[in-house]
Amino acid sequence: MNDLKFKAMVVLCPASKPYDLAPGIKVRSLDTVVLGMDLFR
Amino acid sequence: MVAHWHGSIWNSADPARSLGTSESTVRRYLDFMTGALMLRQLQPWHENLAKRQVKAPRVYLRDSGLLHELLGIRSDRDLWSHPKTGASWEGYALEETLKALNPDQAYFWATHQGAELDLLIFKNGKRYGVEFKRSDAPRPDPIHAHCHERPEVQGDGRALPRIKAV
Repeated sequence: MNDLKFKAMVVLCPASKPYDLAPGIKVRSLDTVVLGMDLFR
Repeated sequence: MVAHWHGSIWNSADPARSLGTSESTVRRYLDFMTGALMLRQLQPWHENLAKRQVKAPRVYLRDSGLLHELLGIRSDRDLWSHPKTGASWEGYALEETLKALNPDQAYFWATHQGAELDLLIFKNGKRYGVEFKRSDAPRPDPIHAHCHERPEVQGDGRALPRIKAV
């Protein structure tokens, strides 16, 4: 009852190499969004 | 005055006191600026959790150029040294994300104990979380650490992240 659940979670940064922070949590750059790439893949 | 609330949880009492008017009038001003597409009010998400959750909206000036002008930020150097640099990034990234993803619904989520998520979006019946960080290489914080501790596994074997209301 204490948890908020997601299909996926992304941390957006100004410029970053893509990596996984934890299982199901991705770090991506904002360019990923602006260029129209799938953010949650 | 709104520029100083950029990225913060709105509380009508302070601006009403400063302007010498009522809270309902200040809320009407806020709604007017939202209707004029100058501001975005990101509404809070509520869930049946055991913790108290924030119920006031977060406000963002939609144009980061206007935000910088109102805050007196004239150069890159001013921006990097300004205490609102993180909020400026958050507002800009939020607008770009909403524009690109075009979600069905968008919220933020926060508890009074300090747990928070910058953006919670619903798209095609699925729920996604987005955090905005100004640093280039963010490290796990206690919320992320919890996701790692107890991932819920989906049918295809991938972990389903969770956030604990700490």
